[in-house]
Amino acid sequence: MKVDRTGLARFAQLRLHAPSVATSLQQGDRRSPFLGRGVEFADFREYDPGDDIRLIDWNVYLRLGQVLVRQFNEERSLSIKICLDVSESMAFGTPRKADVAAEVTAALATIALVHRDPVTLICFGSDRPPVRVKAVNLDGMAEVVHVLEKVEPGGRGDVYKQLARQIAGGRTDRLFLVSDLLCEPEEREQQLRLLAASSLHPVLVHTLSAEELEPDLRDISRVVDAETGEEIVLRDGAEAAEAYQNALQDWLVAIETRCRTLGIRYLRVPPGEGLAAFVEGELRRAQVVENAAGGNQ
Amino acid sequence: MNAATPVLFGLGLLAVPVVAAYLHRRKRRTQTVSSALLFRAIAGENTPTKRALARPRHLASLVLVLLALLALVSAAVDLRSDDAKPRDTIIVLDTSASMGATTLGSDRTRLDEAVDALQDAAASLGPGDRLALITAGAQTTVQIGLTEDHAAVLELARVARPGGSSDSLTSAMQIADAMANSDTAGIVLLTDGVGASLPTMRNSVELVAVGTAGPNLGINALAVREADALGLAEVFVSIASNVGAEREGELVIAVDDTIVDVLPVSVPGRSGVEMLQRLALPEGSRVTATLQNHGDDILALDDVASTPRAVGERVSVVLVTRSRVSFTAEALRLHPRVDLRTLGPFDTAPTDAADLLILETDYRAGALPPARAVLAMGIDPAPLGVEVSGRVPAPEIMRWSFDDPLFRFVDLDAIELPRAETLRLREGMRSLLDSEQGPLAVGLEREGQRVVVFGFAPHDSDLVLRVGFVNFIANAVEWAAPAAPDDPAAGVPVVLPASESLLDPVRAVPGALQGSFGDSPLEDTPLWRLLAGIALGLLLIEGLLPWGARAWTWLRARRRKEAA
Repeated sequence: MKVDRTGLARFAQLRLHAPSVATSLQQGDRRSPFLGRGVEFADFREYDPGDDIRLIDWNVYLRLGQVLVRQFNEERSLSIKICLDVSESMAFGTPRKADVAAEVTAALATIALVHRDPVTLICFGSDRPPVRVKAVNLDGMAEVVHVLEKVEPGGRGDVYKQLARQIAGGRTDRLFLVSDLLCEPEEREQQLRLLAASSLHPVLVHTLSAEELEPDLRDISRVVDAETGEEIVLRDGAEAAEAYQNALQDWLVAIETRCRTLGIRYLRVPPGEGLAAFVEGELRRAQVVENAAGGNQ
Repeated sequence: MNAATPVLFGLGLLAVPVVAAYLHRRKRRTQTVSSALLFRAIAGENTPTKRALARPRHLASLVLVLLALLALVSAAVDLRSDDAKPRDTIIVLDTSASMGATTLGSDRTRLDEAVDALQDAAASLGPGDRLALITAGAQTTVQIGLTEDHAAVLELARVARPGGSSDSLTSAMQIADAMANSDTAGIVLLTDGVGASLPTMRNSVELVAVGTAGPNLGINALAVREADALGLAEVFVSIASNVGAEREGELVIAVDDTIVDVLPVSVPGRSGVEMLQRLALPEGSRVTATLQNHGDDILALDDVASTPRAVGERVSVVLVTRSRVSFTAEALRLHPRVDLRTLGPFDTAPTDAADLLILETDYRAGALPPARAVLAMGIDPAPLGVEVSGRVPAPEIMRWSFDDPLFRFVDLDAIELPRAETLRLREGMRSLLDSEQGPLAVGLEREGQRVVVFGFAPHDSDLVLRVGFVNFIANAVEWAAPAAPDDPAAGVPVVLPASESLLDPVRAVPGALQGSFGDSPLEDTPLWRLLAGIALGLLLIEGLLPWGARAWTWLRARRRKEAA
């Protein structure tokens, strides 16, 4: 897949929005539910042997005669997982959906790693074993981009099984699924439910090409599914194009509705508008990213 | 068939717009998409057969096929008119011995089958059609030239008898090629194909193959070498078999009508056997070998072979010796053809020329007795034009011309010679026997006389005590006066070559077209074949192109995956 490295720097001013506390094990600058070392006082508790005596509040001891230790809120990083679909269907479109998805993935990873939010990238969906790479800071960005450039879409594996194996276990504050979701309704439902169950704040980045949104059906006698080999003979005429648009809208509405029901943030990458417009526009409006300096402008 | 007929011209004009429409047809294609999911809502019928037939491009192909069929009908009509023209057919009937083979369990020969095929074909000929008949067997014969009298041709074919080899087929085909010099003439070859090969010809040949395979054992070589020094004749017989398993039988050797011997034979499967027997043959002019009691056999002609005898005339031999008990004289007396006259060194020589003069000692009464051939052993060879180069005590024979007729069945290995003289080899001489010191025997011709000189006397060595010495003397007699047939007109040997005995019929002869004489000559109709071929090719391209494109796409995808 192709990734434009030069355009990634402009996203450093953004950071991922954290709608709740961070749960990553890595220290960062996000509020977390964990008590320990930090700067923000949280509570007292009785001293237990073995506690650091530097945490004992001597003033309280002098006033009340009780040995109490001070507790602080720990600051952690957001745990990010980005699942990128690299099945055969992602190889279609101009530009290829896989390339667009790789650009979006690289932008999300950049935004996260700039602020030391650890990112796990999972490339799944092909007939090869899933590729997994983890980066904890910007030093790991090169490896993320390298993996994105190396992996090519092709074939179709058992998507649900691959996803379940990769994102099960561990904490995930933000889970991104970048896919075209061109699969059977039952399979799609499985993926969405898994996405909703694996993170408190899942995001679906739906990638479709212009050819899929408005296909040119002239002189096409039959279509062949690149993944399954299914052949469908097409009817002629303008009715076919209209029927396709109706089917497409029904399909998109069904996905969006289901995402809303499951608590998944649904975002569609508009073809031909550019990565920056999507990241700085759609993602910010959807409160997936925000300005690092504060504010939403 | 004529392509300029109005019907074909009309069809050609009709084809032009159809072909143009075909070439400029709307090309619909198959598109590979990321998913067929969204297309199901607009899908038509999943089985494209009915739609495919309704498409204009396939309609064009079908119209072309129909045009081709119409052209075929037109061609058939035209052919019928061609058939109405008188035709000349030169029949080449193979009458070689293999055509005498029968079908197992039947008496009908391949030649009978060929004549039946000829009869069936003749029945379908028109009154103006002419036939000629050439038979190719023991000899090539133009039985009858082109004639409308089909009955006469059939009668001549019926009286033909199998015999001889298939070699004459070549000349028969050349004659037929020369006779077929008109546009309406054709050549038909009726043969079982055994041993058949065609020369380069101007006309095409239609082959009508007859015969079925079957077991056969046959004699394919018979030779007789008349009596040797012991009065025994050598009979050589070769038997070939095309049977898979080993066969046993009996070989009857007869001279004229007198049976001489009955020999058991065992012939291995798909192979042959060669026998050399020494027999005492009685007087007679012809030796016959008959193979019998050897199981199923479809060809009787090769079970019998015969050859004329070459007994030869009396041979006059003059022996010059000083010994009363000469081994040479005794050996000569054993020979049935020899008239021996013995001379001492000082006896008067006869005036009439002998066939062979043998010198065991120097002849001192004058000039050598006249003879056509001279064999000198251990004498002074100067009167014969040969010089002695030296004397050698106990020489060892290093080389001898074992393939020379003089040494047939003679073994000179380990001969003990007490002494010998080496001879000087001059131009025109050939060495027959060599020692380390030089030649011990030479052969030459002088003044029309054949001479062989030995540098030692056989009776000084142990050669005379061996049976090889008797053979040597018999060889010398044969050398001096070779046996010739008593009666040169007694005929040639009647032995079929092996190619005629190995009888598996051949269904295709290189250079000949497979056919059955009497059918319509469809090979003259290339136009309808061309049209039908074009239509069929178009349909194939229509059908195979999408598959090829799909395979190419699949291969490219696979290569891309492998590269990734």
